[in-house]
Amino acid sequence: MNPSVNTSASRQLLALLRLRWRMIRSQPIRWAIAALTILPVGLVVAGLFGMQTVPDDQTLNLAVATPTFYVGFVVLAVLAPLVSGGGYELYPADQLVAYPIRPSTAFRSTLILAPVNLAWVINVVALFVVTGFAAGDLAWAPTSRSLLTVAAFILTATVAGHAIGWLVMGFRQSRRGRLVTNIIGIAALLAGFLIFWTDNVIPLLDNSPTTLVLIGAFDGYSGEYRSWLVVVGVLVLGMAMFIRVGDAVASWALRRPGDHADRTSSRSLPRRPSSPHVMYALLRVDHASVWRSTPLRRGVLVLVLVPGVISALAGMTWQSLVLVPGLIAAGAGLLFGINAFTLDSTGSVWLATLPGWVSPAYLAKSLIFLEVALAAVLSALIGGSLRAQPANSISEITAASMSALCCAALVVALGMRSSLRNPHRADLKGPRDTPATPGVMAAQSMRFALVTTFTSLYFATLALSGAWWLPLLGAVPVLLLSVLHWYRTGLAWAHPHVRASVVLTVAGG
Amino acid sequence: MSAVVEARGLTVSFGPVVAVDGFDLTVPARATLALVGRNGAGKSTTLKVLAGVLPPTTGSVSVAGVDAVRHPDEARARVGYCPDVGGLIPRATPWEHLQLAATLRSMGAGWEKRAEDLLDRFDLLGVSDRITAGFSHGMGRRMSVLLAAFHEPEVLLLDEPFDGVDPLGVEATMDVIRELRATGSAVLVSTHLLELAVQACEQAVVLRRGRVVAAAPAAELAGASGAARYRSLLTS
Repeated sequence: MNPSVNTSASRQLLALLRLRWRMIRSQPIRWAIAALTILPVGLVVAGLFGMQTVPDDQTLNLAVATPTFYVGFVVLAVLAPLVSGGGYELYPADQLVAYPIRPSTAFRSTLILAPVNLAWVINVVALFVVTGFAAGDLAWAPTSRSLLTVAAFILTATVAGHAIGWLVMGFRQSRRGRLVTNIIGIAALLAGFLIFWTDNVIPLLDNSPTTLVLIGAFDGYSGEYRSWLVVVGVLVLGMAMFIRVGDAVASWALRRPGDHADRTSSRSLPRRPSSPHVMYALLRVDHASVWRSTPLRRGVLVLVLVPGVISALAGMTWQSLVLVPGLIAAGAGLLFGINAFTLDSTGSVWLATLPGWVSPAYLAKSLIFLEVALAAVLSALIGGSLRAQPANSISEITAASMSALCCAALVVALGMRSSLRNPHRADLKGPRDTPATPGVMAAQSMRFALVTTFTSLYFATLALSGAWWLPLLGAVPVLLLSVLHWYRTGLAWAHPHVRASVVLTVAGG
Repeated sequence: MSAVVEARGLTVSFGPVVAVDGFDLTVPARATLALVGRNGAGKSTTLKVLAGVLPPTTGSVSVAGVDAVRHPDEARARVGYCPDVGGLIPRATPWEHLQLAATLRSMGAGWEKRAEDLLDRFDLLGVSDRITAGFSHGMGRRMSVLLAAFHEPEVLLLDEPFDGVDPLGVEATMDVIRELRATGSAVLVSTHLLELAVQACEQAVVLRRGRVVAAAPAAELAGASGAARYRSLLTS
């Protein structure tokens, strides 16, 4: 008997993780990844201690809102894998075809990589901090029990979300499946609008089953062991069940023949007239590379539509809207911007032999990237402004606008630098394909988040002044810094050795 | 006859690995030269340098009288290159590749006629509006050769143009090589398929560990005796 047939999913996963770790040749990057793994724990501890300064009368308000945060996390846990066709992969599928990898290994590897999603990490940190605060004063054993409850909830929701993601991905392998999932998606969206317009959001949230999770956390804190163990037990059982379901669903989804990629690649596309302008011609090919790629098309649509709709529904204040663009711009950077030249993939070597390609190519990639980042942040800003409470001063509006512009510019500048420093071969063809390896994705998401959060806070501070012109003035150094960073990267791109390294790497040579 | 391709003391190093080790190469106009040798001999790296994709570590390269290191864009305008792997933008159609090439190479009106003709000869006309991600390996190779020859370059560089290509595709490639040679172009072909190299080229250069170990008329590598000689050059 072939011994590999008996290798369990866990052992396969361990071997794949070990290889992935070994493939990180740079010691500083290993340290950075280790630090990134520990950072959320540090943030939770800091958050828990920091929340002790909040007045006690706020505890009840937070406790009331906590089940809603849990609902928000469930939505994220389902949406994130849906967008990425089941979740991120440790390795692109084509690199593992020679190995007898079990479908359950593929499913579980996507679970392991859930923390690569920055929104997931931020929500997890927030849930721990909020629950720990709502449960009561910090005390080692009681707080640990309440946090254990929320940990069980986070894991269960994440596993369930990934199982649903794989299920939908499997359905979407056929034309009928795509039709059915599209109808379900539209119906869910309409139901959401209906609930919102009929003012049923609050009553629904009040009756959310996630209240039971918070009660479990409270029971754990107060030493009501029996009821606490029941809640934790149900969550753990649910997680185990969803892992089994996910294994089975992944096995079914990966066996499905799939017609989507074939349909896209075998269809004749209408010809468009040639353009005599080099930049326009390059932009057109880059646009095609984005819109004809399943993960990029889906990513762009989600980035542009979802934050806009959520901001519109949330009825945020302008003060909060100043903080929104940062995270969205970071998400736009992770779509393809951290490895922008991979849009050309194997074609980059041929492109590099065309005269007059070098500078326009850098500009075209930057423009496509900026376009996506701006579309995402502006959509959130415009969506939010539709139902935003009146601004306290015009400075809040100018601050939100400048925050959006500067975050987009910074992300493009940083992303283009990363595209040159960390080029990576990525086809961006399959629904789970990402522009970089999981480690680079995690490191870059943290980098983007830090820079854009700091920038958003900077503009939030400027907005407090009440002077409408101050955010405009404050944007000048940030934009100049971004342009300078971008320009210096452009100079590096003009260097033949640097360019050759990028071109040959993204082409897989 | 003046040299169209001239490399002097060409060296390409990747860290401690020396891929091309200081060799000289002269290819006159209307010449067809086969670069043959084992994996890692430096054939593809040499062509990448000549195509302007990779700068040499040391040495000089001139293409059609243009210093390819100091004036890479002018050199690129004179070269057509088919890379050894891929060479196509996955989500662009063949027609879009040709449109882009025509724009960047400032090809005047009438390029469409040549494009259609080449697509027809390489049996790609029927798929010219489909994205290349769906192409078979052989179709991709044919398209890469077509793109290299599209602008009738003064220097045609073909890296593994016959790899996985069906007999009709090989025939179309041979035709293109003959045509360009007849118009005065120099053609360099890197391949592992010795028989086809002999068929396509008049001269052959055998590379080993980044160095030229033999240069001779390609016909001398033909047949069983030629194969035996080639084998001895690779192993001695």
